[in-house]
Amino acid sequence: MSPRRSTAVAATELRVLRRDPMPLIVLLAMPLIMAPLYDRAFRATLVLGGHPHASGADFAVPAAAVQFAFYLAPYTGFMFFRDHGWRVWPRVRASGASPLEIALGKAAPMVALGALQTLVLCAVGAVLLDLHLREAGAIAIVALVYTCSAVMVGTALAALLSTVQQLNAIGFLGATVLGAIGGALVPLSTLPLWVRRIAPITPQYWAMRAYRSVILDGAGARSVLLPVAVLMGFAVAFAVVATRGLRRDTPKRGWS
Amino acid sequence: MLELDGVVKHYGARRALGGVSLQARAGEIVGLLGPNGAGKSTLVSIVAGLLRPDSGRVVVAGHDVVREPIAAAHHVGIAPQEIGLYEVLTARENLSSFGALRGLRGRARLARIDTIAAALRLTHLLDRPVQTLSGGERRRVHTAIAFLHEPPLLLLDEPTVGADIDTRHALLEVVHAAADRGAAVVYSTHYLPEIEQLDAWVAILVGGELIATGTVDELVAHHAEAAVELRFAAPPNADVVVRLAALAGGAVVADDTVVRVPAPAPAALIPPIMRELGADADGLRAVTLQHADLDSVYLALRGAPHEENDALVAAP
Repeated sequence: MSPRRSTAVAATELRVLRRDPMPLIVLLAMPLIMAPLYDRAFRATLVLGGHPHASGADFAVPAAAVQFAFYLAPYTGFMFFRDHGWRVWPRVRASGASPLEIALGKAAPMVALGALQTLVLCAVGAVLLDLHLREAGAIAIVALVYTCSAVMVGTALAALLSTVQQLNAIGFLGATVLGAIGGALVPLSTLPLWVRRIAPITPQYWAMRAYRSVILDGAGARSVLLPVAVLMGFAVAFAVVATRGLRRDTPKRGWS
Repeated sequence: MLELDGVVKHYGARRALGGVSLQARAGEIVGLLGPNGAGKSTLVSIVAGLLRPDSGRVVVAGHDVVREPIAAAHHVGIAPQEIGLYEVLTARENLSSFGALRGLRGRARLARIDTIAAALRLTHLLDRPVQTLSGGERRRVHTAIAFLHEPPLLLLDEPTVGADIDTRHALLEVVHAAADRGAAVVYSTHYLPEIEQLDAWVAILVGGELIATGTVDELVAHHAEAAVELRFAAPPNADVVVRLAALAGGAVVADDTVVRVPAPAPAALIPPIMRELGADADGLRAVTLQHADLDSVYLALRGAPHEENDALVAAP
């Protein structure tokens, strides 16, 4: 395991991103637009749910952060398909970089972007939307670990799928469905019992649970320990699936 | 530097390599020849660790490529057959990215980029995005990446496809220089004069098997056969092939529209061939004299009866 090779992969990804940053700028800006739209609707739900002093932003902001950070999964997968499309993948593999080093190198800029997205969203929420921002350090750690799990899901999908169309469909639709099941689209308490029962199988559930505990319930930073541990477990599990899949190196087909 | 021992590879039911054994010593250039689909790229990919052999052993600088893929990869520089570059980055950024991945740092990396760019006449192109370069220019950038970290084993898979004459000369000089400093080079190509210019040790791969190896002189001495090559507008009748075989007093090889008639003095055989063809000569489109050189070695060996070669061989 060489950090130098992962850093080289990450630096290349940043160079490519710099050439066409528009898709990621849109992805980062979108939750800033979406969160205020649902602010009022969610306030009523939170008050009815036993949080009389909550603002709508206390749900809308973390929900938007969780939902949109998971869209980084297909974006991460696209990096691998792009490498196949540009035929640089054999060269990257032949460089002596292991699948894990490559995966980490590609993940690093995405994880940084995802964590930045959550922090900007929280800052805007606190200043403009009456978000009750507490335990910023704990929130940053949850954002970081949750984004890691999302990005590793994207890497695993890229490793296992054979066409970019499959990644596009499964990545975006899957992120939306998992967000719904995990309570990142509407509060979990409003969903059917069977959904609440299966919600813990999603990373979104654990991220929302962590945010809820510090923002809505006012619990201390220690309350995020279990969710962070579970999210790390997700990240590691998907990283294992991803590296095994990348080692198999099945042929990929891009947009063309 | 490189040892292959009984390397076998299948794609499903199709055999791509059928027990290839080969060596490339430090400072040696191995010219890998063979028709399309012969297994050249598969062999290169296996040595680079991109494909796993079904059986057999590949050792690079003492490291088994299956058991120690990363250690082996550090000794290899590869230019795959298909151009692979980050399209939106400049040539310099591409070189820098792959240089960093290969462990070149800071000023050493910049110096190597300048050196290899100058050798391959890329200096004026370094700051242009790759997507604005011509095919030949992109090929040069692609090939330059293989040389960046001065690997002891170079794998160049048809590096001069689409290259103009100047580029080809520049590349051959760089390959020579790499061999002179002690690198082993596996150079796959369809351009036989390049093999002669490189003074390479030749390995001819057909249907996944090495059918001949040796220096150019050795191969010419053992296998070269001067011949008259007749190209028809349409595949000739079997009767024409048999008559030509009788005339030549030896086996002729017919492959689609081409009939190859061996002859120690090919020019002298043309008049009797034309007389023998009679009215069938109307279907002729070209007549070529093949002299005893690497071309004729290659054609003779390729045309030899082989389980994956559907050429028709006729004897008197």
